[in-house]
Amino acid sequence: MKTKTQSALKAALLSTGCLQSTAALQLETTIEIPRLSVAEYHRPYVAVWIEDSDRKAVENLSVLYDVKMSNDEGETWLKDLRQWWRKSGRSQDMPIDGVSGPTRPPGIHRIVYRQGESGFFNLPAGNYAFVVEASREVGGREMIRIPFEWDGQNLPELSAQGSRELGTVTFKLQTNPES
Amino acid sequence: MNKRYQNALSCFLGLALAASTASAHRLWLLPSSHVLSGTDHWVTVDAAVSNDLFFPNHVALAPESIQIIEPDGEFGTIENAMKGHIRGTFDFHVSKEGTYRVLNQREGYFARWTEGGEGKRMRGDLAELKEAGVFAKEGVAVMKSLSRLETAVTVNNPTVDVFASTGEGIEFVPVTHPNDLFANETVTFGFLLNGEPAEGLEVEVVRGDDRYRDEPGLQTLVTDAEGQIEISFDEPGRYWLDTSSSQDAGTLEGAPLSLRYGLTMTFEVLPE
Repeated sequence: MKTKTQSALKAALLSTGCLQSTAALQLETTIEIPRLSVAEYHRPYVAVWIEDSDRKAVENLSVLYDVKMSNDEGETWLKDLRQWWRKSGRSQDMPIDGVSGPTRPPGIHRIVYRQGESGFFNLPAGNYAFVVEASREVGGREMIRIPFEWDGQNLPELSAQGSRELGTVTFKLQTNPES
Repeated sequence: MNKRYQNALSCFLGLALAASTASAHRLWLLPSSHVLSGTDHWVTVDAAVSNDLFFPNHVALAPESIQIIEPDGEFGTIENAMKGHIRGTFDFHVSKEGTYRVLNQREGYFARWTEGGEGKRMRGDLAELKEAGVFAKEGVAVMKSLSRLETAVTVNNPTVDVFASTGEGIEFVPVTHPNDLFANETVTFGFLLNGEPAEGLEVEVVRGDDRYRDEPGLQTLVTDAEGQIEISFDEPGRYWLDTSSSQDAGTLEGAPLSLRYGLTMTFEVLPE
Protein backbone atom coordinates (compact mmCIF):
# COMPACT_ATOMS: atom_id res chain seq x y z
CA MET A 1 0.00 0.00 0.00
CA LYS A 2 1.52 3.31 -1.10
CA THR A 3 0.29 5.68 1.57
CA LYS A 4 3.18 8.02 0.93
CA THR A 5 2.21 8.45 -2.71
CA GLN A 6 -1.35 8.93 -1.69
CA SER A 7 -0.50 11.68 0.78
CA ALA A 8 1.61 13.42 -1.83
CA LEU A 9 -1.18 13.14 -4.37
CA LYS A 10 -3.70 14.45 -1.91
CA ALA A 11 -1.44 17.42 -1.09
CA ALA A 12 -1.00 18.15 -4.77
CA LEU A 13 -4.71 17.92 -5.39
CA LEU A 14 -5.45 20.17 -2.46
CA SER A 15 -2.90 22.78 -3.61
CA THR A 16 -4.37 22.91 -7.09
CA GLY A 17 -7.91 22.83 -5.84
CA CYS A 18 -8.57 19.69 -7.86
CA LEU A 19 -10.00 17.87 -4.89
CA GLN A 20 -13.15 19.90 -5.18
CA SER A 21 -13.32 19.51 -8.94
CA THR A 22 -16.20 17.61 -10.48
CA ALA A 23 -14.05 15.59 -12.90
CA ALA A 24 -15.50 12.08 -12.95
CA LEU A 25 -13.47 9.40 -11.24
CA GLN A 26 -12.94 5.79 -12.06
CA LEU A 27 -11.70 2.86 -10.09
CA GLU A 28 -9.15 0.78 -11.90
CA THR A 29 -8.58 -2.73 -10.70
CA THR A 30 -6.19 -5.34 -11.92
CA ILE A 31 -6.68 -8.96 -11.03
CA GLU A 32 -4.07 -11.52 -11.87
CA ILE A 33 -5.27 -15.02 -12.56
CA PRO A 34 -2.22 -17.26 -12.31
CA ARG A 35 -1.42 -19.83 -14.93
CA LEU A 36 -1.52 -23.17 -13.16
CA SER A 37 0.03 -26.35 -14.30
CA VAL A 38 -2.73 -28.81 -13.48
CA ALA A 39 -4.12 -31.77 -15.37
CA GLU A 40 -7.64 -30.38 -15.52
CA TYR A 41 -7.89 -26.62 -15.70
CA HIS A 42 -11.08 -24.60 -15.61
CA ARG A 43 -11.11 -20.83 -15.48
CA PRO A 44 -11.94 -19.63 -11.99
CA TYR A 45 -15.15 -17.98 -10.95
CA VAL A 46 -14.19 -14.60 -9.48
CA ALA A 47 -16.22 -12.21 -7.35
CA VAL A 48 -15.13 -8.67 -6.48
CA TRP A 49 -17.09 -6.69 -3.94
CA ILE A 50 -16.92 -4.04 -1.23
CA GLU A 51 -17.57 -4.82 2.41
CA ASP A 52 -18.28 -2.32 5.14
CA SER A 53 -16.65 -2.41 8.56
CA ASP A 54 -19.19 -5.04 9.70
CA ARG A 55 -18.06 -7.19 6.77
CA LYS A 56 -21.41 -6.83 5.08
CA ALA A 57 -21.34 -6.71 1.29
CA VAL A 58 -22.39 -3.18 0.31
CA GLU A 59 -21.48 -3.12 -3.38
CA ASN A 60 -20.90 -5.80 -5.97
CA LEU A 61 -18.24 -4.83 -8.48
CA SER A 62 -17.87 -7.96 -10.61
CA VAL A 63 -18.89 -11.59 -10.70
CA LEU A 64 -17.16 -13.58 -13.41
CA TYR A 65 -18.71 -16.96 -14.12
CA ASP A 66 -20.13 -19.10 -16.91
CA VAL A 67 -22.85 -16.59 -17.71
CA LYS A 68 -23.55 -18.05 -21.14
CA MET A 69 -24.16 -21.69 -20.22
CA SER A 70 -27.58 -22.99 -21.20
CA ASN A 71 -30.33 -23.23 -18.58
CA ASP A 72 -28.28 -21.00 -16.28
CA GLU A 73 -26.16 -24.03 -15.47
CA GLY A 74 -23.23 -21.73 -14.78
CA GLU A 75 -25.04 -20.63 -11.63
CA THR A 76 -24.66 -24.12 -10.17
CA TRP A 77 -21.14 -23.38 -8.99
CA LEU A 78 -21.67 -19.83 -7.76
CA LYS A 79 -22.07 -21.24 -4.25
CA ASP A 80 -18.38 -22.18 -4.36
CA LEU A 81 -17.57 -18.48 -4.13
CA ARG A 82 -18.81 -19.21 -0.67
CA GLN A 83 -18.26 -15.89 1.08
CA TRP A 84 -19.62 -13.88 -1.81
CA TRP A 85 -22.49 -16.34 -2.14
CA ARG A 86 -23.38 -15.96 1.51
CA LYS A 87 -22.99 -12.21 1.70
CA SER A 88 -24.59 -11.26 -1.55
CA GLY A 89 -25.00 -13.84 -4.29
CA ARG A 90 -27.71 -15.97 -2.78
CA SER A 91 -30.05 -13.01 -2.45
CA GLN A 92 -29.40 -11.74 -5.99
CA ASP A 93 -31.27 -12.39 -9.15
CA MET A 94 -28.53 -13.56 -11.51
CA PRO A 95 -27.17 -12.24 -13.79
CA ILE A 96 -26.61 -8.82 -12.22
CA ASP A 97 -26.57 -6.00 -14.75
CA GLY A 98 -23.14 -4.43 -15.11
CA VAL A 99 -21.68 -6.87 -12.57
CA SER A 100 -21.96 -10.34 -14.10
CA GLY A 101 -19.42 -11.17 -16.76
CA PRO A 102 -17.72 -14.15 -18.36
CA THR A 103 -14.80 -16.00 -16.81
CA ARG A 104 -11.30 -14.86 -17.78
CA PRO A 105 -8.23 -16.85 -18.79
CA PRO A 106 -4.95 -16.73 -16.87
CA GLY A 107 -3.32 -13.29 -17.13
CA ILE A 108 -3.67 -9.81 -15.69
CA HIS A 109 -7.14 -8.41 -16.16
CA ARG A 110 -7.96 -4.74 -15.90
CA ILE A 111 -11.50 -3.86 -14.92
CA VAL A 112 -12.59 -0.23 -14.65
CA TYR A 113 -15.61 0.99 -12.68
CA ARG A 114 -16.75 4.51 -13.58
CA GLN A 115 -18.34 7.12 -11.41
CA GLY A 116 -21.96 7.41 -12.43
CA GLU A 117 -22.07 3.72 -13.37
CA SER A 118 -20.84 2.02 -10.22
CA GLY A 119 -22.44 2.47 -6.83
CA PHE A 120 -18.98 2.40 -5.29
CA PHE A 121 -18.63 6.17 -5.67
CA ASN A 122 -21.80 6.79 -3.70
CA LEU A 123 -20.68 4.90 -0.63
CA PRO A 124 -20.68 7.13 2.45
CA ALA A 125 -17.33 7.95 4.03
CA GLY A 126 -16.04 5.16 6.24
CA ASN A 127 -13.93 2.06 6.52
CA TYR A 128 -14.36 -0.62 3.90
CA ALA A 129 -12.57 -3.53 2.32
CA PHE A 130 -12.14 -4.68 -1.24
CA VAL A 131 -12.67 -8.39 -1.41
CA VAL A 132 -11.70 -10.66 -4.26
CA GLU A 133 -12.67 -14.31 -4.11
CA ALA A 134 -11.72 -16.91 -6.70
CA SER A 135 -12.88 -20.51 -6.95
CA ARG A 136 -11.94 -23.00 -9.60
CA GLU A 137 -13.84 -26.13 -10.59
CA VAL A 138 -11.87 -29.20 -9.39
CA GLY A 139 -9.36 -26.68 -8.07
CA GLY A 140 -8.82 -24.45 -5.11
CA ARG A 141 -10.36 -21.33 -3.70
CA GLU A 142 -8.81 -18.15 -2.35
CA MET A 143 -10.08 -14.89 -0.91
CA ILE A 144 -8.20 -11.62 -0.52
CA ARG A 145 -9.51 -8.83 1.68
CA ILE A 146 -7.92 -5.35 1.44
CA PRO A 147 -9.13 -2.78 3.97
CA PHE A 148 -9.28 0.91 3.02
CA GLU A 149 -10.70 4.20 4.17
CA TRP A 150 -13.02 6.06 1.84
CA ASP A 151 -14.01 9.72 1.93
CA GLY A 152 -15.72 9.83 -1.43
CA GLN A 153 -12.77 11.40 -3.25
CA ASN A 154 -9.52 9.75 -2.32
CA LEU A 155 -8.13 6.30 -2.23
CA PRO A 156 -4.59 5.13 -1.71
CA GLU A 157 -3.36 2.73 -4.33
CA LEU A 158 -4.00 -0.66 -2.85
CA SER A 159 -2.56 -4.00 -3.67
CA ALA A 160 -2.25 -7.48 -2.26
CA GLN A 161 -0.69 -10.70 -3.36
CA GLY A 162 -2.54 -13.96 -3.57
CA SER A 163 -0.79 -17.24 -3.06
CA ARG A 164 -2.60 -19.87 -5.10
CA GLU A 165 -5.72 -19.03 -7.03
CA LEU A 166 -5.01 -15.31 -7.29
CA GLY A 167 -1.86 -13.37 -8.19
CA THR A 168 -1.48 -9.64 -7.62
CA VAL A 169 -4.65 -7.66 -7.07
CA THR A 170 -4.58 -3.84 -7.28
CA PHE A 171 -7.05 -1.01 -6.87
CA LYS A 172 -6.49 2.63 -7.72
CA LEU A 173 -8.57 5.72 -8.25
CA GLN A 174 -8.11 7.72 -11.45
CA THR A 175 -9.74 10.57 -13.23
CA ASN A 176 -11.93 9.20 -15.99
CA PRO A 177 -10.09 10.28 -19.17
CA GLU A 178 -13.39 10.58 -21.03
CA SER A 179 -14.97 12.96 -18.57
CA MET B 1 -51.62 -37.40 7.91
CA ASN B 2 -51.88 -39.49 4.80
CA LYS B 3 -52.12 -43.26 4.89
CA ARG B 4 -48.73 -43.87 3.36
CA TYR B 5 -47.04 -41.75 5.98
CA GLN B 6 -48.90 -43.53 8.76
CA ASN B 7 -47.80 -46.91 7.48
CA ALA B 8 -44.25 -45.75 7.24
CA LEU B 9 -44.44 -44.56 10.81
CA SER B 10 -45.67 -47.78 12.28
CA CYS B 11 -43.21 -49.83 10.21
CA PHE B 12 -40.42 -47.75 11.49
CA LEU B 13 -41.41 -47.52 15.10
CA GLY B 14 -39.68 -50.65 16.30
CA LEU B 15 -36.34 -49.54 14.98
CA ALA B 16 -36.77 -46.04 16.33
CA LEU B 17 -37.37 -47.19 19.87
CA ALA B 18 -34.59 -49.73 19.68
CA ALA B 19 -32.23 -47.03 18.50
CA SER B 20 -33.25 -44.60 21.21
CA THR B 21 -32.39 -47.06 23.94
CA ALA B 22 -28.89 -47.69 22.58
CA SER B 23 -27.32 -44.28 22.62
CA ALA B 24 -24.19 -45.29 20.76
CA HIS B 25 -26.31 -45.91 17.70
CA ARG B 26 -26.79 -42.64 15.98
CA LEU B 27 -29.53 -41.92 13.48
CA TRP B 28 -28.58 -39.66 10.62
CA LEU B 29 -29.68 -38.23 7.32
CA LEU B 30 -26.88 -37.03 5.13
CA PRO B 31 -27.72 -35.03 1.99
CA SER B 32 -25.19 -34.72 -0.84
CA SER B 33 -25.49 -30.91 -0.67
CA HIS B 34 -26.65 -28.52 2.01
CA VAL B 35 -26.13 -25.30 0.05
CA LEU B 36 -27.01 -24.97 -3.63
CA SER B 37 -27.00 -22.17 -6.19
CA GLY B 38 -29.17 -22.04 -9.27
CA THR B 39 -32.58 -23.70 -9.28
CA ASP B 40 -32.48 -27.16 -10.80
CA HIS B 41 -30.67 -29.86 -8.91
CA TRP B 42 -30.83 -33.37 -7.57
CA VAL B 43 -29.95 -34.10 -3.99
CA THR B 44 -29.23 -37.64 -2.85
CA VAL B 45 -29.60 -38.56 0.80
CA ASP B 46 -28.13 -41.39 2.83
CA ALA B 47 -30.16 -42.53 5.83
CA ALA B 48 -28.75 -44.85 8.45
CA VAL B 49 -28.23 -45.77 12.07
CA SER B 50 -24.56 -46.24 12.87
CA ASN B 51 -21.89 -45.80 15.48
CA ASP B 52 -19.49 -43.78 13.35
CA LEU B 53 -20.57 -40.52 11.79
CA PHE B 54 -21.28 -40.56 8.92
CA PHE B 55 -20.40 -44.11 7.90
CA PRO B 56 -23.09 -46.74 7.58
CA ASN B 57 -22.16 -49.75 9.71
CA HIS B 58 -25.27 -50.87 11.54
CA VAL B 59 -28.83 -50.57 10.23
CA ALA B 60 -30.49 -48.78 7.30
CA LEU B 61 -33.28 -46.27 7.72
CA ALA B 62 -36.20 -46.90 5.39
CA PRO B 63 -36.54 -44.16 2.76
CA GLU B 64 -40.36 -44.46 2.98
CA SER B 65 -40.17 -43.11 6.51
CA ILE B 66 -38.78 -39.81 5.27
CA GLN B 67 -40.63 -36.73 4.07
CA ILE B 68 -39.35 -33.85 1.98
CA ILE B 69 -40.92 -30.56 2.97
CA GLU B 70 -40.40 -27.98 0.23
CA PRO B 71 -39.82 -24.27 0.88
CA ASP B 72 -43.50 -23.48 0.21
CA GLY B 73 -44.76 -26.29 2.47
CA GLU B 74 -45.57 -28.79 -0.31
CA PHE B 75 -44.36 -32.35 0.09
CA GLY B 76 -41.59 -33.37 -2.29
CA THR B 77 -41.25 -36.76 -3.94
CA ILE B 78 -38.73 -39.35 -2.91
CA GLU B 79 -37.20 -41.06 -5.93
CA ASN B 80 -34.80 -43.94 -6.52
CA ALA B 81 -35.36 -45.17 -2.99
CA MET B 82 -33.27 -48.14 -1.95
CA LYS B 83 -32.99 -49.80 1.41
CA GLY B 84 -29.83 -51.80 1.80
CA HIS B 85 -28.73 -53.71 4.86
CA ILE B 86 -26.88 -50.83 6.46
CA ARG B 87 -27.91 -47.75 4.48
CA GLY B 88 -31.09 -46.37 2.99
CA THR B 89 -30.75 -43.92 0.13
CA PHE B 90 -33.00 -41.81 -2.08
CA ASP B 91 -32.99 -38.74 -4.32
CA PHE B 92 -35.20 -35.71 -4.42
CA HIS B 93 -35.47 -33.05 -7.06
CA VAL B 94 -34.88 -29.47 -6.08
CA SER B 95 -36.57 -26.84 -8.21
CA LYS B 96 -37.74 -24.19 -5.77
CA GLU B 97 -35.77 -21.47 -4.08
CA GLY B 98 -35.41 -21.52 -0.32
CA THR B 99 -34.95 -24.08 2.40
CA TYR B 100 -36.05 -27.72 2.12
CA ARG B 101 -36.46 -29.85 5.23
CA VAL B 102 -35.77 -33.58 5.10
CA LEU B 103 -37.68 -35.11 7.99
CA ASN B 104 -38.15 -38.48 9.58
CA GLN B 105 -40.77 -38.20 12.30
CA ARG B 106 -41.52 -41.15 14.52
CA GLU B 107 -44.22 -41.43 17.12
CA GLY B 108 -45.88 -44.18 19.01
CA TYR B 109 -46.46 -45.92 22.32
CA PHE B 110 -44.36 -48.33 24.27
CA ALA B 111 -45.77 -50.36 27.17
CA ARG B 112 -43.94 -52.41 29.80
CA TRP B 113 -45.36 -54.71 32.41
CA THR B 114 -44.58 -57.91 34.27
CA GLU B 115 -46.62 -61.05 33.78
CA GLY B 116 -45.92 -64.31 35.58
CA GLY B 117 -42.55 -63.00 36.72
CA GLU B 118 -41.57 -62.24 33.12
CA GLY B 119 -40.88 -58.76 31.71
CA LYS B 120 -43.24 -57.97 28.83
CA ARG B 121 -43.32 -55.10 26.41
CA MET B 122 -45.28 -53.94 23.43
CA ARG B 123 -44.97 -51.17 20.88
CA GLY B 124 -47.63 -49.74 18.67
CA ASP B 125 -50.15 -47.00 18.31
CA LEU B 126 -52.76 -46.36 20.96
CA ALA B 127 -55.45 -48.47 19.27
CA GLU B 128 -53.12 -51.46 19.03
CA LEU B 129 -52.21 -51.23 22.70
CA LYS B 130 -55.87 -50.98 23.71
CA GLU B 131 -56.84 -53.89 21.52
CA ALA B 132 -54.13 -56.05 23.09
CA GLY B 133 -55.56 -55.27 26.52
CA VAL B 134 -52.28 -53.77 27.66
CA PHE B 135 -53.92 -51.21 29.93
CA ALA B 136 -55.54 -53.98 31.99
CA LYS B 137 -52.16 -55.55 32.82
CA GLU B 138 -51.03 -55.19 36.37
CA GLY B 139 -48.21 -52.71 36.88
CA VAL B 140 -48.22 -51.53 33.28
CA ALA B 141 -46.38 -48.29 32.45
CA VAL B 142 -46.76 -46.55 29.11
CA MET B 143 -44.40 -44.23 27.27
CA LYS B 144 -45.45 -42.01 24.41
CA SER B 145 -42.61 -41.09 22.11
CA LEU B 146 -42.22 -38.41 19.43
CA SER B 147 -38.84 -38.09 17.78
CA ARG B 148 -37.64 -36.16 14.80
CA LEU B 149 -34.59 -36.75 12.67
CA GLU B 150 -33.93 -34.05 10.14
CA THR B 151 -31.63 -32.01 7.99
CA ALA B 152 -31.98 -28.95 5.79
CA VAL B 153 -30.96 -28.10 2.23
CA THR B 154 -31.08 -24.57 0.85
CA VAL B 155 -31.25 -23.27 -2.70
CA ASN B 156 -30.13 -19.64 -2.93
CA ASN B 157 -31.47 -17.58 -0.02
CA PRO B 158 -32.22 -19.51 3.20
CA THR B 159 -35.86 -19.40 4.33
CA VAL B 160 -37.46 -20.52 7.60
CA ASP B 161 -41.05 -21.46 6.73
CA VAL B 162 -40.28 -25.19 6.88
CA PHE B 163 -39.34 -24.85 10.56
CA ALA B 164 -42.80 -23.64 11.61
CA SER B 165 -43.68 -25.17 14.98
CA THR B 166 -46.39 -27.79 15.31
CA GLY B 167 -46.40 -27.23 19.08
CA GLU B 168 -45.59 -30.86 19.83
CA GLY B 169 -42.31 -32.44 20.83
CA ILE B 170 -38.87 -30.88 20.47
CA GLU B 171 -38.52 -28.58 17.51
CA PHE B 172 -35.60 -26.63 16.08
CA VAL B 173 -35.71 -22.85 15.86
CA PRO B 174 -33.34 -21.42 13.22
CA VAL B 175 -32.07 -18.38 15.16
CA THR B 176 -28.97 -18.99 13.06
CA HIS B 177 -30.05 -20.76 9.91
CA PRO B 178 -28.65 -24.33 9.74
CA ASN B 179 -27.52 -23.73 6.15
CA ASP B 180 -25.56 -20.62 7.07
CA LEU B 181 -22.85 -22.03 9.32
CA PHE B 182 -19.18 -21.16 9.10
CA ALA B 183 -16.24 -22.26 11.23
CA ASN B 184 -15.13 -19.96 14.07
CA GLU B 185 -18.33 -17.97 14.16
CA THR B 186 -20.66 -18.07 17.12
CA VAL B 187 -24.10 -19.26 16.14
CA THR B 188 -27.36 -19.56 18.07
CA PHE B 189 -29.71 -22.52 17.83
CA GLY B 190 -33.11 -22.48 19.51
CA PHE B 191 -35.31 -25.33 20.66
CA LEU B 192 -38.98 -25.55 21.53
CA LEU B 193 -40.58 -28.14 23.76
CA ASN B 194 -44.28 -28.44 22.98
CA GLY B 195 -44.20 -25.01 21.40
CA GLU B 196 -42.48 -23.23 24.31
CA PRO B 197 -38.79 -22.31 24.65
CA ALA B 198 -37.10 -25.46 25.97
CA GLU B 199 -34.99 -24.42 28.94
CA GLY B 200 -32.41 -26.79 30.39
CA LEU B 201 -32.29 -29.12 27.41
CA GLU B 202 -29.00 -30.99 27.06
CA VAL B 203 -27.83 -30.78 23.48
CA GLU B 204 -25.00 -32.96 22.20
CA VAL B 205 -23.02 -31.83 19.19
CA VAL B 206 -20.30 -33.83 17.48
CA ARG B 207 -18.41 -33.48 14.24
CA GLY B 208 -18.48 -36.32 11.75
CA ASP B 209 -15.45 -38.33 10.67
CA ASP B 210 -14.94 -39.59 14.21
CA ARG B 211 -13.38 -42.65 12.62
CA TYR B 212 -10.30 -40.55 12.01
CA ARG B 213 -9.66 -39.25 15.49
CA ASP B 214 -9.03 -40.72 18.92
CA GLU B 215 -11.26 -38.42 20.93
CA PRO B 216 -15.03 -38.53 20.49
CA GLY B 217 -15.07 -34.72 20.52
CA LEU B 218 -18.59 -34.55 21.89
CA GLN B 219 -19.77 -31.15 23.15
CA THR B 220 -22.73 -30.98 25.51
CA LEU B 221 -24.53 -27.66 25.84
CA VAL B 222 -27.54 -26.74 27.94
CA THR B 223 -30.24 -24.42 26.63
CA ASP B 224 -30.86 -21.13 28.46
CA ALA B 225 -34.20 -19.61 29.51
CA GLU B 226 -34.90 -18.73 25.86
CA GLY B 227 -34.34 -22.36 24.90
CA GLN B 228 -31.14 -21.44 23.07
CA ILE B 229 -27.54 -22.56 22.88
CA GLU B 230 -24.60 -20.63 21.51
CA ILE B 231 -21.92 -22.63 19.83
CA SER B 232 -18.95 -22.13 17.55
CA PHE B 233 -17.33 -24.79 15.46
CA ASP B 234 -13.54 -24.97 15.42
CA GLU B 235 -13.47 -26.95 12.25
CA PRO B 236 -15.54 -27.10 9.10
CA GLY B 237 -17.28 -30.38 8.45
CA ARG B 238 -20.54 -32.21 8.83
CA TYR B 239 -21.96 -32.24 12.32
CA TRP B 240 -24.56 -34.21 14.22
CA LEU B 241 -26.77 -32.79 16.95
CA ASP B 242 -28.96 -34.73 19.34
CA THR B 243 -31.23 -33.84 22.22
CA SER B 244 -34.07 -35.46 24.09
CA SER B 245 -36.42 -34.85 26.96
CA SER B 246 -38.53 -37.13 29.14
CA GLN B 247 -41.30 -36.21 31.51
CA ASP B 248 -44.09 -37.82 33.51
CA ALA B 249 -47.51 -36.97 32.21
CA GLY B 250 -50.09 -38.37 34.60
CA THR B 251 -51.95 -41.44 33.49
CA LEU B 252 -53.38 -42.89 30.31
CA GLU B 253 -56.26 -45.36 30.64
CA GLY B 254 -55.24 -45.76 34.26
CA ALA B 255 -51.58 -46.53 33.49
CA PRO B 256 -48.75 -44.14 34.43
CA LEU B 257 -47.73 -42.26 31.29
CA SER B 258 -44.39 -40.74 30.44
CA LEU B 259 -43.50 -38.69 27.38
CA ARG B 260 -40.25 -38.89 25.51
CA TYR B 261 -39.30 -36.35 22.88
CA GLY B 262 -36.21 -36.39 20.71
CA LEU B 263 -34.60 -34.31 18.01
CA THR B 264 -31.59 -35.28 15.91
CA MET B 265 -30.12 -33.13 13.17
CA THR B 266 -27.24 -33.12 10.74
CA PHE B 267 -25.79 -29.93 9.33
CA GLU B 268 -22.73 -28.63 7.55
CA VAL B 269 -20.19 -26.06 8.69
CA LEU B 270 -18.17 -24.41 5.92
CA PRO B 271 -14.68 -22.95 6.17
CA GLU B 272 -14.49 -19.16 5.83
